[in-house]
Amino acid sequence: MSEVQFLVTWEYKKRNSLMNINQLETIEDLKKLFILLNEPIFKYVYTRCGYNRETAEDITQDIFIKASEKRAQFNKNKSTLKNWIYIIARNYIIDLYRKKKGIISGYSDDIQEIITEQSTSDGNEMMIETIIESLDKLKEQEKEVVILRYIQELEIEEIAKIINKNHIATKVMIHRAIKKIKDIVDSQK
Amino acid sequence: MNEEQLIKQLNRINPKPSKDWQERVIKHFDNFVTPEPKLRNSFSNIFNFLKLSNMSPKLKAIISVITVVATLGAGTGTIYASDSANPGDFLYGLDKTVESIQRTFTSDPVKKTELELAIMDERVLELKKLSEDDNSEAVSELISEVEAQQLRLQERFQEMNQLRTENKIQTQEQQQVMEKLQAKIQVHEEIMNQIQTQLKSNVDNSNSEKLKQLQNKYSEETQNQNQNDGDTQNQEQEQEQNQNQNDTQDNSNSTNQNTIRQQGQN
Repeated sequence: MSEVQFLVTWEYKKRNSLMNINQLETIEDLKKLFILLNEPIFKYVYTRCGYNRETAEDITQDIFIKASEKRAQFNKNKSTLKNWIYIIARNYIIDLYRKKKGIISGYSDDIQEIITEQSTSDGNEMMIETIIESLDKLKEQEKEVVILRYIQELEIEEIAKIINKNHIATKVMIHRAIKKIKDIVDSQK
Repeated sequence: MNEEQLIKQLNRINPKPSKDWQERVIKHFDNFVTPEPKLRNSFSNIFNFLKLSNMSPKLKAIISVITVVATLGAGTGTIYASDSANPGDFLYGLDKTVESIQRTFTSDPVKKTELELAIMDERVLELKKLSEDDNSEAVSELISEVEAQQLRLQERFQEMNQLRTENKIQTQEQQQVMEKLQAKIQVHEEIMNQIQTQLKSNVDNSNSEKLKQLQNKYSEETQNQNQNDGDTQNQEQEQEQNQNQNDTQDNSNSTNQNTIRQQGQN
């Protein structure tokens, strides 16, 4: 196993949890940050920017470059490293939307590739495509909170900090968005 | 489908980046990561400093005042900087705005003339600078502005002369400004001659011709004004002489009267 492969393995992740990185001074720190967070950030970018692997990889890489440039601004007393990088990713995507650059509407990858296989089938496999389509019909912020809560599986408190809203407002927004998706999916049956 | 099932489905969406990409990024990390982080700019540092909760309100107030003063200073600085802006520069628009504001707020005829003269000075120098860059379109535009400025100056001239004839003001300041005007006009003519040579060497014939016409007009007007000025001065001198003669007559009369009185007493 090469050094690079070793770094990516789960063992490394376990030994170097995010709690151990509380500063971003050296390139080693940034490398650790990338190893620990590239997957969730990729997932976030992928679901928000048109479901295209290559585009999402490029954007994710840019986000980490941005983070490395801004590392002097990270203040561990104000936010966690995870939240901080999510905020950078979010602002980066908002910027892309503004410039209408790099955003592909609709999804271009095979849906089956992005689904984790479950041992117990609940008979709703085909629904996932409809759900992704309904997700795209929501307002940008509603879509974002659903992605952060149920695809990224973040806590409400974390989401509130990322989108800069209070706990209750965030909770209500998530609830309403889920209800909307449910209504869209139901109407298409 | 209930909400719980929906959430379960959402949880299943789990795209993963390719291993190739991950390895490639880690391998080339040193290439794309900047070794030194970018520092915040000075302004955001100030605001970050204000956010510190352990700072006393007094200190916060002092810092706010300093910030406001610094900002105002920067504003004045911009206006000051705009003064030296050339046509086509970012600050040139501001320069013109400042001039029109100055015009609005100056009511004293002498000061008004001085202001227009200073603006004319600026325009002519701008034209000289621009003619060196060989940008015929901008030069043509600026010549029109010099023309407009010349008309303004002419109006001031007329007003000054009118005031003089009506004897509304007859101050030393007024005389000084008129002398200054004449001196400046000579300087302007000299500079315009230099520009003319420059334009000819640029083979910018249309602008050269335009400037020549403007120059002729300028010197013509000045001569007219000077004549008027001369006439008024002559009239004044005549008036003064008459006055003096009267005075001397009065004096001699009174002296005569005094002598008569003295003779009578004797």
